Amino acid sequence: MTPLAITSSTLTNSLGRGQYATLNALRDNRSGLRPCDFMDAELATWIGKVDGLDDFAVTGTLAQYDCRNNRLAQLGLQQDRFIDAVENAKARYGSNRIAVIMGTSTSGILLTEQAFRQRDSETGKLPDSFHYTETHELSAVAEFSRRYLGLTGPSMAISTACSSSAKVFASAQRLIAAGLCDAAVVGGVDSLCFTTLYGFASLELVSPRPCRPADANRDGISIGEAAGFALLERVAAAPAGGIALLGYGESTDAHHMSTPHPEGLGARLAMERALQRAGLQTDEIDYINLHGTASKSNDGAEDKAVAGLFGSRTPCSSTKGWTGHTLGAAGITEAIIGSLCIEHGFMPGSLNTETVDPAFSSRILLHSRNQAVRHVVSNSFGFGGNNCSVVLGRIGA
Amino acid sequence: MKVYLDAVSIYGPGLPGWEASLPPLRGEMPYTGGDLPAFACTLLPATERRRAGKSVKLAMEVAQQAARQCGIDPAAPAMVFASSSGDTEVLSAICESLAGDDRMISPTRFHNSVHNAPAGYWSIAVGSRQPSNSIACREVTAAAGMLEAATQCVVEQTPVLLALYDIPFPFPLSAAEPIATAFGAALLLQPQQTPHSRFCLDVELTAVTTTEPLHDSEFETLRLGVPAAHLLPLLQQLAMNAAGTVVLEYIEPQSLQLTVTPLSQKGFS
Repeated sequence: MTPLAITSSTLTNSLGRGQYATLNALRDNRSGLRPCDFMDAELATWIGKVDGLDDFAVTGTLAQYDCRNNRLAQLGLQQDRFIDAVENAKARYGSNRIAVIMGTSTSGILLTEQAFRQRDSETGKLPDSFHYTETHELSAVAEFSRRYLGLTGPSMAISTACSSSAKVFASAQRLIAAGLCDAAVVGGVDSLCFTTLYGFASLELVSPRPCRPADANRDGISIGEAAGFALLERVAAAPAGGIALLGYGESTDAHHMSTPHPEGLGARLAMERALQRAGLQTDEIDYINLHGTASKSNDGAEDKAVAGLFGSRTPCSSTKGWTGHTLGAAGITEAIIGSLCIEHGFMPGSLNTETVDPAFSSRILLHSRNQAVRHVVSNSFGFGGNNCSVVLGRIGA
Repeated sequence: MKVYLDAVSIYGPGLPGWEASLPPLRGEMPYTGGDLPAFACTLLPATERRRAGKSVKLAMEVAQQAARQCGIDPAAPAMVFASSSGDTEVLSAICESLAGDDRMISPTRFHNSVHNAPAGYWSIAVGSRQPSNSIACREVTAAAGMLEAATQCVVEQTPVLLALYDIPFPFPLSAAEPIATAFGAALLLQPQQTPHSRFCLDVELTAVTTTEPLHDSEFETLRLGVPAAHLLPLLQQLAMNAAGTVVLEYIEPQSLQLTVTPLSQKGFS
């Protein structure tokens, strides 16, 4: 495929506001995880929470959009001069020509959960102040972001569980390739809620301690929240050497609703399709950011897929020991981490991992290292066996 | 952006499949609504049929009908599932549980709550490893789904099966987000004309913002009441096998314009 320039990006998560907070934490071996202190949730688990969202209410003409998920989107949009980059693109292309495609798994469901706690004891009604469409409907964060940025191009939400905000790159590339827009704001926002905290707990998939991806004794995920955004444009609009999306690959497992294909067949297919679109061989990939949730089944299946395709040579790691599993925001979070690795010549190790599972064949990096990185593959796999891999590199390199 | 339509299906009150729905869609008889047809769901094994929610069954029903109409291997096309709120019954049940004393929601209910549950069940049932997308866009979900399916079809040069579906929220969410009834439709898009192609569809964004109301007031009520039913103007045009242009509301000030060119004497009948 024709590469697409990533001319601006931003990331907010439990490591801090702005993508350099994430970069610095990766370099300092500082995790964003802490024992669960989310509202009145009573769960023995660790979470990656973004502090201070209570102070960032959505107000003014967009006040009806106010909820934790859109607050997180708003806080994210305000970092890394992302709005300036979008304004600049608007001046060049016009607001009709910039798409907004956002991934999320649960949107603003927390507000609905809270509304159910406040039902009228006689009528059973939800509070009058509750607005579903602007907060919880799955495209609420896409619509909030679109309105906040003043864009009027094609827009939608992608909700394929934990691959949602990787797949936004694929859909944006297609819209631009088809000539329906000249640029796209893509991203993902997912925020802490009881549905995912208790849902993953009921599946016995959450760890009682900080998650340990690829560890022999890994015992589940740590749930996090995050907002990430990227501005995609044709490479002609960007300087040589800038970061670019080189390829994407999508697949389904056709296996099971909540466990991946044991041999990682769907995962491997997603990586193969991504490499094919990028026109790259496996030995041209310097680092793989794994989906690496630290669940027994995901990490095992992903190892088989990665080792089957790349052998034992290519360094790889999951960064979920830092951010937690940010679910529908994981794709964008880890794509931006991948771009930071290329930009800053850096590969993160696998935080919290002590002993790599002896059954694994892929080359799990335990410790971070400074090293030139040309091309990165980032994996995102979701419930329902929904897989997406993206390939990142530099323009003209 | 030109795509070819090889199959269509419909599901709604008093609309049990494409053939049986042709008279009201063509205006040969008034549309009077009626009961929701039972789901056949022959693709789902018995255990999965028990586990799957209503939205999964609806999405699979329309997708299967469309695949069967043109005889395509259901594992061949890429999939686009589009629904505003997905499984409204599962979401309501989860929020109700979480407000109660025992917050441990059932694992099956939790995995059924993801928006891509129909995509997951479908891929398992038909053995498809093709890309599948699950999207949402409020009351303009039909336009967003159509756009995603058409761009994927043209850019990737792959057949795409688009399934649109919505089911109503139970009380109390029904008051906050009224979805009038269950409605679904599916289209099989091809990048190049095949022996099964019955229409060429030119898909473009346009500055025209008004969708013309449907002549039949009951159909118009259905269209306005369910996000997926916003596809009705196109379905009516296909039923009449007539050349013409329909406009689906999208992101103001742009709409999605669909220019229909019949390729055969009888269309999908």
